[in-house]
Amino acid sequence: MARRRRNISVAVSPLMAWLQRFAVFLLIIVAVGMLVWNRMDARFGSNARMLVADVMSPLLNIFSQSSASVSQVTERFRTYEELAVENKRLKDRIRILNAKAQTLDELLAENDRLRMMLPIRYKTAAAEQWNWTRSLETGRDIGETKRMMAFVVADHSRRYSRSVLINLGRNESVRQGLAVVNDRGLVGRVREVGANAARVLLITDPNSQIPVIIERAELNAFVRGTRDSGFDMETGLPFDYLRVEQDFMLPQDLEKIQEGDRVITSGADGVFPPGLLIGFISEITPAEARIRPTVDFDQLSNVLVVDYPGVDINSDLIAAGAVGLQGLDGN
Amino acid sequence: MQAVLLILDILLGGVLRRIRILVPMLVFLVLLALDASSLGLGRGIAFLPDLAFATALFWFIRHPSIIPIPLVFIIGFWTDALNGTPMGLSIIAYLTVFYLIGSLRADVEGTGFMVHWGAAVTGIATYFGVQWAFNSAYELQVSPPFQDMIRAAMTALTYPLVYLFNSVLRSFLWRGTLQSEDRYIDST
Repeated sequence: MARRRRNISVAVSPLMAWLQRFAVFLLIIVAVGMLVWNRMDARFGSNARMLVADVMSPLLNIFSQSSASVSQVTERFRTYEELAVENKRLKDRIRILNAKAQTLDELLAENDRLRMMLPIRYKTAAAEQWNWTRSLETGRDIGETKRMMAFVVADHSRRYSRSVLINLGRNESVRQGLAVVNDRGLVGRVREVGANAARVLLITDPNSQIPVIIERAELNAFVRGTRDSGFDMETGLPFDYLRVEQDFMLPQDLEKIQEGDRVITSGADGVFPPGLLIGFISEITPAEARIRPTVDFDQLSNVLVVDYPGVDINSDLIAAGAVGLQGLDGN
Repeated sequence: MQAVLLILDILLGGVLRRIRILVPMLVFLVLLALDASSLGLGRGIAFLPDLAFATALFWFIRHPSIIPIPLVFIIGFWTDALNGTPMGLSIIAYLTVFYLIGSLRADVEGTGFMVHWGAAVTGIATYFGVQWAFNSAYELQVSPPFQDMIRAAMTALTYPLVYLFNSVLRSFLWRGTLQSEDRYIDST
């Protein structure tokens, strides 16, 4: 019986080997086709991708939560002296920030009074930003802005993509395009949504482009992610940097930018709330300006998904008098 | 023990065969999830060995009969989907390695660990090299190869551990009379 089986196998094997080889080449061609399609349309396969993420999300949740617990335990082993020093530093910082917030409240009130005297009324992006910042501070949703706490369950943003998976999906009203932030600033935007998980494209990905304001220089610009890294001189650790897009700037604009300038979202795209901190200008060369993001993408864990209704900057400009003045009661 | 396994094989032969395929796949999925999950290692995660790939590689070399070609495609697809890499990148790499290992198999069959390791290192270099080359083509710019080289080296260095673990798993799953049947399938 065994000999008969072996004889059959000998007869069949060259054909099988040829079919196998043919199948491998055929599937490689299919895969290359998928890659090309993906290049032309980044949304290609997103449903399948999120299906896989949904299937794997329970397992990913277990691993991520476990590693977070381990981190919390190791955090507790800090010495008393370290905690005392940090406590003092934080208290000092709170004092300074409180003083700044008080001044800012007074300035806003004064600004409101002065605006009342103007023949037009409009809501500025700055006022919207302030409302939004206060909503983060108080933990309450302001207006139509909703926030959802999420946990990063998969972070594979180190090789060929800069994206993370979070544990919220369609079932929690997360949808494509929503902004994702953490306590340090802008993290990215939701790119693909599954039932229980969503993929967030980080701002450091080359496919991410954000309209920003370079505050001191009063410049509107776009920033784009890169796959290049810089090194922190103090810690010696690498970090991903962003680049100010030159295509949308005049050559003399680059000269206005200085190292250390704050870069915030302008909100012009209606996706990101205005005023979210992105980072600081870290390096200027004749060809480009680099931004070091404030978010530590190596230590992402808890993030907020922000359902922001958007500010219509154009309507603000119209209200500001560029097109037609409205009366006092016209709002 | 052998007798019990023989009876089990007669009664539940089909089920056991499926278990033999499923267990390595489950190990692969757990390792893939572990690799993808944010372990709090930050940038250091890029320098961890790719244990999921190393596991798949072990089975490519030692027991390709349990991994049909469509399954190789699915493994690559699953890896791309979970890692957020461009669709097709890992599929191409996995299929290339599968083909390469298939052509090396006649030389590796029945040899010791060192030859097996040599074949595995060839497979690892091919996997990361193909991924790097196709990603560079995809991005229309040369990707920095540093991370891939480190990861490939780490995977090659830790491969003996993967070999040990999977050999134990294999000897557990393939003990008893069924071993001869699987040898027959492998030989075809």
